Amino acid sequence: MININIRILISDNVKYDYNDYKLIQGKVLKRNCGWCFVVKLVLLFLFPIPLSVVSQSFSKSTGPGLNVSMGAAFSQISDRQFSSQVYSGITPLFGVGGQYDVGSGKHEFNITFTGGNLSAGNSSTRVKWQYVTVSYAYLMQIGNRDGSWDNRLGAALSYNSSTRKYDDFINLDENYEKFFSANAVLQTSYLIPGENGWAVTGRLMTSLFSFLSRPVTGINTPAETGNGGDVNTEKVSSFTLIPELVHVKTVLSLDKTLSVQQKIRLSYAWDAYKVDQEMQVIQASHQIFLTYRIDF
Amino acid sequence: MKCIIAGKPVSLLFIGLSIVLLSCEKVLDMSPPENGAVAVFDEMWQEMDRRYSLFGIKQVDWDAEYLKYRDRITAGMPDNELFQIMSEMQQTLKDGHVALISGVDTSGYDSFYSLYPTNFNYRNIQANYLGSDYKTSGPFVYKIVDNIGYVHYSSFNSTYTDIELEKMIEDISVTKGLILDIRSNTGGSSLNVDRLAKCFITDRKLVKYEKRKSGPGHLDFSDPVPYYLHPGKLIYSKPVIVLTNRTCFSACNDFVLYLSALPNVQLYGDQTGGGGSIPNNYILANGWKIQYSSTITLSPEKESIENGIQPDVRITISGLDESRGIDPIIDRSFLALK
Repeated sequence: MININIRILISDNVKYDYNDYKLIQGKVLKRNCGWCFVVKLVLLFLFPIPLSVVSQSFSKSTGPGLNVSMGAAFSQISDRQFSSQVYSGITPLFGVGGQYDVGSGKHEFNITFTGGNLSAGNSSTRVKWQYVTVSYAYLMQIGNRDGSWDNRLGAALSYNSSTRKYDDFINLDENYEKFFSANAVLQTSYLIPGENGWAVTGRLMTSLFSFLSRPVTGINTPAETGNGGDVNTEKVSSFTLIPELVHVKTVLSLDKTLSVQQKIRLSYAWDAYKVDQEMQVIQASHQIFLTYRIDF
Repeated sequence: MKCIIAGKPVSLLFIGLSIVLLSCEKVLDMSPPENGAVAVFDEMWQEMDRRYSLFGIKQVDWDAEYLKYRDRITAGMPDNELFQIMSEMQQTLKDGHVALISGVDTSGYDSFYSLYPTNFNYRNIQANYLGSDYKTSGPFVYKIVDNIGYVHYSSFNSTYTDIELEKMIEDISVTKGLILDIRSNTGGSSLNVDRLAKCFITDRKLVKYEKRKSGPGHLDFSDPVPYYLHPGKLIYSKPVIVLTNRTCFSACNDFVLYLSALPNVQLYGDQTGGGGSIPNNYILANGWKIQYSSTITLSPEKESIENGIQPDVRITISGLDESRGIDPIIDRSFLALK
C-alpha cells in the first residue's frame, strides 16, 4: 500500500525554500484530490495501533503528522540474574508515532516494539524477549537557522520495558526492567542542498533520572493473578540517577520528501541502557528501520 | 556534484556520531565472558556464594569447599573432569535443588529419597487397583470405588487446563472421600501447585512464607513474605487423604504444606523429601546450567520445610507387600475413608 501511494504522489515539481524549510507545492501535486484522501485514510487504518512505532519526527514538518515504521533490530543483552552469557538476536521492529509543530517547537510521540528469540552461542536456553518504548519529546529550535542546518534541544519523557523469559527454566524464569525516565535530547538536521528533498538528522537522547522497577529475583509464578488476590512477585522500585541507570539512544536518519504531505526516512538507531545494581543488566540494540510519514 | 559537496558536513556528522556509538558499545562491555575451566569453576562458586539461600540450614563452609576443590582445577582440563569436580563440590550441600547440567550430563543430589524405601509402585497400582476402568483428565488418573475417589498426579511439571482440572473435580465430587496420591511427584511448576491446591481450600488462606536473599551475605534475607491462596472455582471439601513418600519434593512438598493445615486433610505414607525453596537457574560462561535454592520456604508457623513434612500416619510398603502387589498405604487410606 505504501509503495502504490508513493508512486502516485511523487512529483518532480516539488520545490524547497531553504530559508524557512517549507515545501512549495508544485502544480502537478494534487494535495486535496479525493482518492488521495481515501488512500491516506486506508493507510491510517491499515497500520494498526498494535504495530508499535518508532521514529523521531521529520525535521521539516509543519503540521500534525503520523508515521509508521518497520525494520529490524540486532540486540545484545547481558542479564546477570540468569547468566554471564550475552544473549543476542535479530528481531523485527515496528513503530508508530506522531508529531506536531508549534512555532519553533516540536512535539513528538512515539511507540516502538521489538522482540523475539535471543540465544547465546554455547547455551541451549533460549530467551523470549520483548522491548517496548514509549516516549514523548518536546524539541525547541536553538540559535538562528544557518543555511541548511537546524539544531534543536529538548526534553523527553520515556517509558521502557524489557522483559525476558527463559524457555527451559521453571518458576523463576522471567526478568524485566521497566523504567520511566526524564531525558535530555539534542538533535541536528541538515537539509542537503538541491531540489531532491533529502535531509540528514542526528539525534542523541540520554536519561537524566529514572524511576526503575524490577523484580527482586526472577519472577515467581504469580498466585491469584486471575482473581485479584495476592501476587508473589516482589519487586523493587527505585529512583535512579546516572550512573546507576543510564539509557542512551542515538539516531541517524536519512529523509526523503516525497510530496508536501509524505516523507520516508531510513534510520539507524542505537538504543542502550545499563542498570548497574546487584544483578546488573546491560541491553544494547542496533536498529535499522524505514519510516513512512503522512501529514494532515 | 552539488550533493557530494553538500555532503561533506553530513559525512562529518555521520563519522562523528558513529565513533561515539562504537565507543559507547565498548564501554558497555558486551564481550562474551571467559569460559575456561578456572573461570567457569570460579563463576559457579561465586554465583552460589552470593545467591544460594540455604547455607544457614546446611551448615556448609563454602569458603573451605572452594579451597578444597579449587586445587583440583587446572586450565585446559577436560570438560568431563571439570564437570565431575564441580558436581562433587555442589553435592557437599546435600540439597536436592542443587544440580549441574551440561549438554551431555546432569548431576544432582538424590540421597533425600534414594537412601529410603520407595513406598510406591505404580505398576502394582495399575495392575491391582486401577485396572482398566479408570478415567483420565489431562495428567490426572482417577477412579471411584465404593464411593471413595482415588486420584494420581505424577508430576507438577505436567500442566493441565482448567477444563481438565474441573472435569476431574466434578467427577470425584460425588464421592464421600478422596485419596490424592502424589507419591514420587518430584515437583515442577508452582502454578500447577496453586491451581490444584485451590480446589481444596474453602477460604483465603495463608499457606506459606518466602524469604528471599537481600544481599550477597549468606544470611542476608528479606523479611518473610506471606503467600495466600484463594478458593478455586470448584472445591472439594470432603475428607481427603494425601499419600506422600520421600520422592515428593519441591513443588510437591509445597503442595503437601498447603493441604496439611486443612482440617479435612490427613497425610498418609512416608515423610516428604523436602526441597523447601524456590530454585534458581543460572547459565555459566561455558553454557552449562546450574540450579540452586534461592529462597527459604517457611510454613505458616515460620518453620523451614527443607527437610520434609511428616505424615499424620506413617505407613511403609514392605518387600513382601510389593511382591504380592499390595499397596498398604492405599489400603489403609481406603479403610479410613470408608
